[in-house]
Amino acid sequence: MIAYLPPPSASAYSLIEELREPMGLPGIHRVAMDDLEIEQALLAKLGARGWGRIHHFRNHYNQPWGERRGEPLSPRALDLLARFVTAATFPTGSQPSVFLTDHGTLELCWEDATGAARQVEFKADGIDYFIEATGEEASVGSDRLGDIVGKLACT
Amino acid sequence: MPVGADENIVRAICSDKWDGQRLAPSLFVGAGTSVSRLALTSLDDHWDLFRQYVQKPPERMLEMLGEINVGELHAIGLAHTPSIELTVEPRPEDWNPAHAEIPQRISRGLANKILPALKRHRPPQASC
Repeated sequence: MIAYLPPPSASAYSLIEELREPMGLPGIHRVAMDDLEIEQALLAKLGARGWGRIHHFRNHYNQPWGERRGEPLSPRALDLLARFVTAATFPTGSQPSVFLTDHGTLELCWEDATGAARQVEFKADGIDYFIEATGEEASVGSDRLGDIVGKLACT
Repeated sequence: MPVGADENIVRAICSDKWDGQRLAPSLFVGAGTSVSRLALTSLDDHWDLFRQYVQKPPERMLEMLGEINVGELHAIGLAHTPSIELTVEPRPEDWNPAHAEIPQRISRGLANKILPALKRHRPPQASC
């Protein structure tokens, strides 16, 4: 003989108020996914090596470093690099290199489809770039990030 | 008095400027690039000296020494557009009497021409 239990009533399992979905409560917001999306973009486009180096610079170069007392990694420079990489498209099969400069800024270096160097340095207050194929080298404000993506990394 | 054109200099290349694939142009971009003179301190002694003083924090590893002749460096500067007269000036420091500097401001484009001219020295193998 098979016995059937009656279906649970709607109120059999209910979360206490503190654990309920906060969507409808004023003043409570979901955690933004931006950080996760940025991490995924960095990993996908820079590879494990580039992604790991950024974390290395962030975690181990946060005090004056080296024989010339290099500056710690600039959070603004890191933010600019992350936004650039998220929007950029690099040639297939090419992963840029990431370097920390003595001034706490970040350099991103790769080659275009012809093998010529393209380089961007992200600073706290702006961006330097270099296009070997044309010899163009300039500095622009961080508000021109979108233009720099279009100019250098939109293949 | 500038270092003579017949001398060779080395630049310490640590893990923040070398990722196993490319060299960072910032090794030479800007003014006051730090170098060291092989005429005063041998290559082997430079390894010992740099290991002691540049590997800070300990996670920063000395990966290579980049060597270039002073005359060749000068010629690269003159051949670049716009041309620039690169010199190497002695700047001895307590920890390194062979320390010197390239005082001129080096552009990114010029740094990209200096990097391929470097003779790369890997760390000497430890003897058994």
